[in-house]
This record gives sequence, C-alpha cells and structure tokens, in this order.
Amino acid sequence: MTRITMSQVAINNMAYRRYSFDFFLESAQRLGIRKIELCGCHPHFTMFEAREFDTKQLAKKIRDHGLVVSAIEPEQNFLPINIAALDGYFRKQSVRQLAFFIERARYFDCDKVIVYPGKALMNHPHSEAWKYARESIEELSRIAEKNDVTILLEAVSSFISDLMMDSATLARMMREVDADNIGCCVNSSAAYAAKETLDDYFRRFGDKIGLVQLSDSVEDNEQLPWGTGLQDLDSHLRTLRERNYTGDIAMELLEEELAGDPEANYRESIAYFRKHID
Amino acid sequence: MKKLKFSQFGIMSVQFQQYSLDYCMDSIAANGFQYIDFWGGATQYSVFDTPPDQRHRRVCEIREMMEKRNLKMSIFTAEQICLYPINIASSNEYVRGNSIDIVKHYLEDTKEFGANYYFMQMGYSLFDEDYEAARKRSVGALKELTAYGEKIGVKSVMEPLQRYESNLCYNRDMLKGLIDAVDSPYLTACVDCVAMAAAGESIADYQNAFGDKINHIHLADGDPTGHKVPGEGTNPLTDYLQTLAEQDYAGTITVEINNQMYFNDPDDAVAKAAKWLADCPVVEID
Repeated sequence: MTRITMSQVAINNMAYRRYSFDFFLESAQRLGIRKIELCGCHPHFTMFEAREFDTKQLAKKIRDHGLVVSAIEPEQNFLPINIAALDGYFRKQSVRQLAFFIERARYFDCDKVIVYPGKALMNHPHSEAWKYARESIEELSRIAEKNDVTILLEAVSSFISDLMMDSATLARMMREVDADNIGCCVNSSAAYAAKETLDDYFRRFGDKIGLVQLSDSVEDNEQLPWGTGLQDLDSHLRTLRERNYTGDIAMELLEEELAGDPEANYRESIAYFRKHID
Repeated sequence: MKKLKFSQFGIMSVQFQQYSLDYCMDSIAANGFQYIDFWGGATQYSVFDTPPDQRHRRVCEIREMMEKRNLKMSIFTAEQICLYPINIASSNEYVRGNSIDIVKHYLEDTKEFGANYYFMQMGYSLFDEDYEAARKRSVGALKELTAYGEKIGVKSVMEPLQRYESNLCYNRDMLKGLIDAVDSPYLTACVDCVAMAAAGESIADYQNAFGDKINHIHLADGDPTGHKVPGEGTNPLTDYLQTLAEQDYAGTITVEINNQMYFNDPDDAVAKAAKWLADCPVVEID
C-alpha cells in the first residue's frame, strides 16, 4: 500500500482567473505546492489572448517558479466550447480550441490533456450529440498522437453536461474511440454526483487513470474546498492507497464566488487535506 | 396601492443554455411572458459559435422566431466578462481591442433584434494590477461604445456586478461613477436586485442616485446571492417591486434565474416564476 503525500498535490489556476498568472505561481509557492493543473482559461492561457500566444514564455515562468505541470485542463464549461455541438462550425471551432492545448503540451513537459464530453441539448436526441462527441474525440486523439499526448477523458456531473456522467458511459466512450492514447481522469465531485466511488473507477479503468481530481461537493454545488461539503475524503484517500496510486492529485476549486480570494480558499482546503493524509 | 403590470416582466434565456432556442422561446411564451431577455452565449448565439458571414442570417432567424411567438426582446444580454474572454478594460491590448470590436457587433445585432437595450459591461481589473489604469481603460471603452450606439441608434443599460465578477463596479456608487463619466443618454442604469442585496443596498438608494434614469431591472431571489426563482430565497422581492410601483416604474423587468440547479428543467423554473408573479400582491395581470 502506498502513502499519499503533498508532493502529489496540484492546484489549478482557474480559481485565480481574476488575478495574473504570475500571482497564481507565487501563490502556489506560498502554499508550498509543487505541482499545478494548468487550466486553459481566460485571461491566462487560451487562443483568445494573443495573435500568437507565447507558450515558451508561459512554460518558462512555471519552471522558474519550481513548478511542474501535472496535466493541462482546457476550460470546457464556461468558455464557448462544445465538441458535441450540433452545429458543425461551432464543433470545429471547439476542436480547434482543444488542439491549441494538445499542440502546446510539450512546452510544459506535459503529456496529458483533459477532455470533457461536450454538451448535448436536453431536448434533442443524445445519440446524435454522442456521435459528434466521439468523432471529435477521435480527431483529437489523432492530433494527440502526433504530439505524444494522452487524452484523459473525464465524466462530468449534470451541472456541466449530461452526456457522460458516470464511469459506465465513460467506459463506453473509451471503448468506442478505441485508441491507445486515450486514458481517463476521475473527478470526485462527478463520481459523488453519480453515486459512485473512486474505487468504482479504479476497478473499471486501473492504470488508464492518468489523474485524480479531488474536490468536495454538496447536493447542488461542486468543486468546493475540502471540509465544506459532504464527501468522505478519508474513503477517497483509502482507495488511492489501496490501489497503489502514485499519480498526481489535482485539487479543483471552481465555485465562482471563491475567485475573489482563491489563496485563502486553497489554504483552508490544503490544511484540511493535509490533516487527512497523515 | 399602485401596481406593476405582468406585461412588464420577461425571462432571461441563460437558464436554457442546455436546451434549443425554440424550446426556450416556447417555454417563455407559454408561461405568459411577452419579453425575452436574450442571453448571447453558445450555443444559442455568440460571436464564438456563428461564422462571421452567417451572423446576420442567424440574427434575422432569431428575430423571426420571436415574432412567431409574439415575443419581444427587452434587452440583448451577450455573455461577456463572467464566462467569456471579453474584457473592455483589459491591460492586454489585443484582448481589449477584440472585446471592443465584439461589443460593436453586438450593438449592431441589438438593432437588428429590435431590442430596447444592449446590456453593457464595464470589464474588470485583475486584483493584482493597477486599478486606476483599468478604470481609465474601462471609461474610455464605454465612451467609445456608447458613442457608437448613439451613431447607430442603440441604447445600453449597465448594472453593478459582484466583486468577484468585476471589481470596477459592484455597488451603486461605482455604477453611478461610470455612468456619469460617460455622460450620455445612451447609457443608463439597470438595477440588479441580487447585486443590490449583496451590497446591502435598496431600490430607493438607486432611485435617489439615478432618478428616472433607471431603464431596466434584473429580479431574482437569493440568500442574498444565488439568482434563484422568486420565492426560493430570502430576499424581500415584494418590497422591491412595491417600491418600483410606488415610483410609477414603467420599464421592463427581467426575471434572471441563473443558477445551475435549474439548468436541468428551466421550464419548471419559469412556470414557478410566473406563478409567483401572478400571486404577488403588487403585480396585476394585464
């Protein structure tokens, strides 16, 4: 059985979207964190920031702060992006936005990019959106192959999309796409919403799990700091130990009202987490 | 007792973002509303999901969809600073330039939609950058955009947000400062009842500051925030409406239900809002 240590823990810059990226990096240092989940969000890192985005400079800044990128998570809920969109133009634009991150991953010495299933319209046949999502993921997988990147597919709760909400539908998508460079990322809030456990994911996917995202949640809100929701962190940690998980653990904090003071919220969440890993 | 009319109320389409626009408009019309406060975001309509050469066609299509249901657009609320990479106060000149161009297009769209107003937003300053410089950029852009609106005959309203959304404008006085700086009849105030409650302010505070220059109201319940269905929070919405009625407010009021807890069944939320308004003692069905 492995131990879980703070060196596995990454924080995400999405919570810092009302601060500069430099502030985020300094904050990570102040929090004693060594890893980051690099979020492709505005105003830090999207194709909307510049005519030619200076990726090398961003990567250098991260390295200069002694930080390592666990995975790139393009923001796919708030930004105008949907790889399952019925409209062909918008779908193509969405794939282009994700390709932007896949093609730049190597600058960060990172080989993992997280992809959400996209969103179906609730009053349209989901089979159609599913087909579009699969085709988009197939295309992204081909782009990823050229860039030595593994795509980590992630099931999300219905707050984001109802297209791929649990481990069974995630497994179905992975089976249908059937590419060597498709793995998955497990998010504890999505698992909790689907009434599943992290162990359900480990049983199903084993070493295909490239990243674990841990955040607390309540009935009608998720991606909250640890200690403010209803999830059983000890049970999650027990699973990670028993399954000998040695990969990274991203702590996500996406609640928009926390954007005013992300560092205080992360500090509180990390302190709670630290108490539970010892 | 003076009353507001049900026909002054409309529904913001943002909560229908996981449904088709047809479904959204059917729900708003079937629940008895005549106004739609149209949210400009993917996949309903935005500059990010519509090819540049197809935008005019899409705007005309949306207008026809409204006309078919006898709906009118009170206001075009394009998604800007809260979710999208649009910030007219950005220190990144590329972002700021694009943002201003996008808003100009949206002002043109507002005219094509036949909407009463465009929903202007002031942008934001990053918390760790020079605040005064950001405010200057915001005022400069607001002046440019308001002048463009005047040229093409489109009026805008603007409201305070919450601090984590925009630190340039999160209470009445900050809003007044920006609107006074622009000093044009083409940019007036919208009262957001949630931001107002969060800031500990009242409708009377806004009436004292803006007089009859209040041209739109965003109404939602909350604790005090949350943008919930009227009746599902703890904010004194009936008192707000009573104050507006007593001052003979004749403008439009949007019920702005904008909380992910309603995204699965927005029609149910709209039906509940319609019932709350019908039962409200200061609203008369006309």
